[in-house]
Amino acid sequence: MYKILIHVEVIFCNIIQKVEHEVTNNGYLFQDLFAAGTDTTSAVLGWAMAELLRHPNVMQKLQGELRSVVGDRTQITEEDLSSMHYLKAVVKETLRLHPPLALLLPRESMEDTKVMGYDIASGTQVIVNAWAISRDPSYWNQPHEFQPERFLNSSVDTKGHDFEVIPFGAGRRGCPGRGFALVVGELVIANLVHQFNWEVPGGVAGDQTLDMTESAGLTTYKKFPIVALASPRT
Amino acid sequence: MSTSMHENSSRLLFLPLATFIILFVLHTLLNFLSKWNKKSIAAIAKKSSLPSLPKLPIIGNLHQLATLTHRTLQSLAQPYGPLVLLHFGNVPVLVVSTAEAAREVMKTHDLVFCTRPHRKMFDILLYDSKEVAGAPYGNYWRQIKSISVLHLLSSKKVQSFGALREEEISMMMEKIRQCCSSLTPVNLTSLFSTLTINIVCRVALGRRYSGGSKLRKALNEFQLLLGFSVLGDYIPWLDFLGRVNGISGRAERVARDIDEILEEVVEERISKKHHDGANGEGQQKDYVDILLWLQRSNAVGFPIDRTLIKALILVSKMKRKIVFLRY
Repeated sequence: MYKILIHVEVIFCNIIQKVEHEVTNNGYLFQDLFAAGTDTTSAVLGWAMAELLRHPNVMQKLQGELRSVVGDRTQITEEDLSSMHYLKAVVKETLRLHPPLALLLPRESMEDTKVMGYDIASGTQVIVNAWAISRDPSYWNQPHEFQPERFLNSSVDTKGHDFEVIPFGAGRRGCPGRGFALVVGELVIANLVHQFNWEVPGGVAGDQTLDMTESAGLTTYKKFPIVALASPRT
Repeated sequence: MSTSMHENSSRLLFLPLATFIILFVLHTLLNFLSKWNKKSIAAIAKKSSLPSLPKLPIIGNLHQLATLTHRTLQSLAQPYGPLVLLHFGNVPVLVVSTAEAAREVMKTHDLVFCTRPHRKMFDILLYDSKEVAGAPYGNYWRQIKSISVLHLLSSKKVQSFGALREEEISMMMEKIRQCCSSLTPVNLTSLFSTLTINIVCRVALGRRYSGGSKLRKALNEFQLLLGFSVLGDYIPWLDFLGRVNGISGRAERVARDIDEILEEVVEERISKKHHDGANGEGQQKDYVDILLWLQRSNAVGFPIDRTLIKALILVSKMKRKIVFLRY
């Protein structure tokens, strides 16, 4: 009997240890907000450049639009952005396929309520799978394809009114930094693509640059760095 | 000498404690097993017939936590429809997987779902969750959120930092040009990270921090630890494990380091202001200045203390750092 107890004890200790290990080391589901918040912009910039390198036709079309708006001027400024519709579509499409906080930030209910006919108890945590929603075939044609054109003649936006694409969340807890994030994102992509031609180098660096594997962690980064050869566009 | 005695005695204490806990666990486990399925779920989720993932007693679905990414959650949830219930320890967790269900939670019932889960790590690292992202819903949160929006994130404010952004971006383009002339491939991933950190530091603190600085090191550790959930968040009586494995200690250390850095920034600004005699809104340059001005002028309806200022800077840093921040 004593032996059995010891045995059970050991097994249970192992379970606790394992759970503890998983929660502390891999509990990225719940990473904070912040940690999440910090790297989101640079994560999205990375995804955008990777998609552009994988889709040279999109890159070319984007360069065409930028040239038609600013002509031979080198630097693109924030005032130029408003008339760059294809650029905005490229950024939206990147956010649709690669929302940096794929599960947004968890919320919690403050009182008992009913959602879609189900009782939800007060104190229930809520995880919204924004990644799954923005790739749902019932809203999106060819949901896994990078096609900025889908946003060109559409009023769908990331403001949190169109729930089929909610990279910034929505409602009172939606991201108030959206405006700031979009300006930085659009401006960086515009200048990179307008000032340079980009090419993927041969060998391992090139393979990894085009590899779209995601990193683990609350903020979804491209797992491998993006390394590319630039040449100035005169 | 006294330290080692202290260690010994805490070890001696720990053994009977552990045995007691384990017996208690076994007892509870048997209890759960006998009433399994009916009572445990029903007690937590009320009478809801919400589809629910099979779970273990006590730990619920915690054993699956490591594998729960957006991809696995999608395939887990698919057979159950738009809403599915999991349990992390005692805590019911609702997973939302369609746009219609998301609209219900974030629009129709936005106010009901408006708070954030409490996290022990935030208390340690984020000044007792005094910041905007993790603060619970309520008057306090609304006030600090409006400070951030008004003085940092409004479209007028975003515009006012335009010159700074363009300057940082043209410096990045310059670096790429140098790579061009030396025919070196450009590591865009690292350029993006430097760019966003520089922009946020300049906006929030008024100065740039270079690569190897104390701030950057502390921030890396900080972000890593923020990602950790403590078992005690889900199973309160196992909270002591956070002390045993040293996570809490690490968090407290990094919280102290960051506090020192922010204290220094705030202090420096105060003495400079004092020295220059600069005053009023017209002079404001960065977020620290703005917060200090708000404190002096008592412009908001509640007192702003030094801790709150540091908490808001910290969040804004993370947040804007990159931007997509979330609150």
